[in-house]
Amino acid sequence: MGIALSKPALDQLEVTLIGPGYGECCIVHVGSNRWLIIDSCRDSSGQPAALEYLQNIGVDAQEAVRWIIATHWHDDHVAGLAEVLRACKQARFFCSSALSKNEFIAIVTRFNEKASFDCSSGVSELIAVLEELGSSDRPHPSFAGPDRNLETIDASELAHAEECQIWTLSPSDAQLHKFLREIAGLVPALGETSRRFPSQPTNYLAVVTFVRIGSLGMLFGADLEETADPATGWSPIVASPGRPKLKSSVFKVPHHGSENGHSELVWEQMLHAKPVALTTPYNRGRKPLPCEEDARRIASLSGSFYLTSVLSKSPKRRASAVEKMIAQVGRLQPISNIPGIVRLRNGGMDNPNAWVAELSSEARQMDIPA
Amino acid sequence: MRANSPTADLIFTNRQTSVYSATDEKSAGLNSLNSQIDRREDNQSTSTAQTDFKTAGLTANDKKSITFEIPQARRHNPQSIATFSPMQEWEGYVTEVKDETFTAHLVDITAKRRIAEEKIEISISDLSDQDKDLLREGALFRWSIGYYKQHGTKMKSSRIVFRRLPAWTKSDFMKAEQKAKELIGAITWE
Repeated sequence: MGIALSKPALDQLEVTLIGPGYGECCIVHVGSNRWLIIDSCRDSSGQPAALEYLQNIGVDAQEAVRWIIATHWHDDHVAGLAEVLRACKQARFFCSSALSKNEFIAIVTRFNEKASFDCSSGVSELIAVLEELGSSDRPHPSFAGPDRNLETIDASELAHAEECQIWTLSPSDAQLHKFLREIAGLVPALGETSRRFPSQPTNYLAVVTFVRIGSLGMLFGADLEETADPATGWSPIVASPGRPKLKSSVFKVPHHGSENGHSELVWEQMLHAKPVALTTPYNRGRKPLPCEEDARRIASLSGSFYLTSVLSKSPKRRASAVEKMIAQVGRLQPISNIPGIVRLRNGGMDNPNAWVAELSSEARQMDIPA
Repeated sequence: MRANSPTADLIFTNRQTSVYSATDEKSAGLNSLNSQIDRREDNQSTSTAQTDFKTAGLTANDKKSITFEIPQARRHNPQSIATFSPMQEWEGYVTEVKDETFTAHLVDITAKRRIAEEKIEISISDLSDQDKDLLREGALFRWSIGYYKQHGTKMKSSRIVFRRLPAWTKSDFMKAEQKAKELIGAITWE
C-alpha cells in the first residue's frame, strides 16, 4: 500500500492527514487546485510536512494554498508553521485571537529571551510566525472563532460546480478567557531560574474547522477536548444555533482520539452515521493516544477509521552495558518521528460521497470490532 | 584571555561544567571538570565541549568569572584525577512532576539528534538534594552513562545532573517587552 504521487483531479476533493507520532497537519483540496492547510508538523527530514507533500504531488504551494489555519499553539501543531507561511504568501491565515493578545505575546517573548535548548517548545516558532504575519507582502491575518464563515467560494469558480464554505466553530470567548487565565500562571518572575516553556495542560483554544462542499461536510476537530463546563469544549459548538447544520461524512477525530476529546453529541448531531474517521497518534504524553479502548470506540462509531501511524513499542537498541544502566533508572519509551499519511479522495463530481483511502506504510486502518 | 589557546578551551569546559549543579558528592563538579580536562588532553572532546558551551546558553561574559578556577584544576596530580568516559548521553527536559516520579523527554546527543525521540519516568529519589530543588516542568538536565576511572579503578556510572540556568533579569524583560511591542505593532488584524 502506498500514496500515489499525483495531484487530485480538479473536481476531486482530498483530505490528507499527516502525523508522525508527535505533531499533525491536515491538507484539504476543496477543488480547482485550491488548498487549505490546518496546522503544521515536520517530516523525518525536518521539512514542513505539508510543503513536502504538496511538492511531491506536483502542487505549487505558493500559488495553490489559499488558507492556513493554526488551531492552537501546542508545539505538536505548529512545528514548521512559519516556513509554511513564508512559502504560501497568498494564503490567508486564521488563528484564535489569543495570538493578538499582549499578555500572551509578552509571555512568549520572555521565554524566547531565555531559549537555551535546541528542542522546540513552540516559542521560537511562534515568534517566527508573528514576524511573518507582520510582513507587508501577505494578506492580513484574521481571527477564527465560533460560527465564523471564513470564506465562501461560488460554485461557478470550482470544477465540481458546488459552493464551498470554510467555517471555524471555536474557540468561544469563555475558552479564550480560560486560556489567558491559565497562561497568566506561566509568567516568569524576575530572578526566577529560566526553563523551557511549559506545555499548556488544556486545549481550550483549539479551533474546530468545518468545510462544506455542496451537500458534503468535513469536520476537523483539532485538539478540542470536552469539558464539564458547558461554555467550553464541544458542548457550546454542538448547541450553537449559528453553526452550519449540515452533517459531516469525514471527521478528523479530535485530540488524537482520546476519551477527553470524545463527545457523544458530536457523533449524534454533527456527523452522519458511520463517517470516515481519521486521526493521528500522540506518544509524548503519560499514555500513548489513542489507547486500545479509544480505538475500539472510534472504530465502532465510524464506517472506517484510519490512524496515520502505529506507534512502535520497542526502544532503540544500545550496547548491553548501557541498556543495563538505563534499566536501573527506568524504562525508555520511543517517541516516533516518522510521519505516516492517510489520504482520502472522493470520486469527484460524479461520485462525491465515495471516499477512497490511501495509506503510507506507517498508517493503519483500525479494525472494527465484531 | 587567550581565546585561541588550549587554556581558553579549558576555561570554556570548566564553565560549561559549572552550570550543572553538583551531584552526590562535594567534589563532583571538580571531578567532572577533571574528566573534561582529561578528555580534552586526549584530544577527543574539544568540539563536543564547545558545542555544549553554546547549547548551555552561555555568553562571552561567562568566561570572566571562572578563569581563577584553572590553576586549582592544574594543582591535581594527574594520577588522582577521576576521568569519566561517556558511552551514552542525553539532554532531557521535564514534562511532568508527580509525587514520587517525574517524566522527561530525551534528546540523544550521543547520536547527535536534535529532537526528543525517547521518554522516561524517573524516580525523584534518584536525584541529589540539589537537583531536587531544580526539579520542575521545563527544567533541563543531562543524563550521562559511562565509566569513571580513578586510581586504576573503573566504575560504571549513571549521572543525572540538572542545569542551573541563568535567571530572568530586568534586562531580559525589557528586551522581551520591546520585542513584543514590535511584533504586535507590525501586524494588522482583519
